Amino acid sequence: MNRILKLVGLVQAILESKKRASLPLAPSFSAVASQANPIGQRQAGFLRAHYELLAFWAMGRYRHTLTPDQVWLLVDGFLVDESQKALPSEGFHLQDLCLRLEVFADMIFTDSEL
Amino acid sequence: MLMEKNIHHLHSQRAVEVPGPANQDRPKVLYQAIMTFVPSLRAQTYLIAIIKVFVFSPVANADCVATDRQELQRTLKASLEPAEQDNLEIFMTILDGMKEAVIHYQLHTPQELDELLQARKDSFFARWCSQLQQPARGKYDNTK
Repeated sequence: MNRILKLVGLVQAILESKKRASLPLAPSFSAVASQANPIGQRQAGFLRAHYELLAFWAMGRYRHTLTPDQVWLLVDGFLVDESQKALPSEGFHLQDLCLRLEVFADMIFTDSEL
Repeated sequence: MLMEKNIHHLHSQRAVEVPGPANQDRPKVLYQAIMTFVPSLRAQTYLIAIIKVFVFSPVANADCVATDRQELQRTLKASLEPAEQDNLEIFMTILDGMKEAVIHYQLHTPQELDELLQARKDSFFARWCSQLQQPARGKYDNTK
């Protein structure tokens, strides 16, 4: 239980830290993302297009350890984190995004155990 | 066994029995998953109906879910083209997630699942946009 509470706390902390990011005003998510990162618009589109499948994949992957509400937090935190990274290559698929989410979750779990 | 049970479910479950456009091609995320990972299933409406039964059927206990999952996975594997079988595990994990959401949020229909997901998605991206925009006012907006 402590582990889960720490996870939720860490994800919320990540979201809070991203909230403090300083970026120009923009009318849409894609535009905001593209200003945050010159290559962000395509990446934002990619993340948005895969949001549904990624969320349910994560809900299935962590169904024995996290509640759906906690999975939403994890996925939301992951997407915010992912949007700061480099543009995925042409051959980047949802499976790769799932693997990255696992790494992200492992990192949070590991941090929470420190 | 699963097939027989599912035929019974097809006639007893509100989720897959509800006629009309409200549940046609829903939940959308299921069809999105099918088109992404196992597109050959798209034409097999009977299998899609069985998948919906698995996702939306009430849960007696965890053992039943595990058994149904195994049988569904076997059924799908036997129906998929060889090239798609590598994607079956990730597809099944997505189905697990959908079922988890149905149980946790007490959803009854594919439409409700779609609505939940859309609401979550809209909320997240709106919040994200808002969060990205808010700090910018002080730094970039010189009109005040």
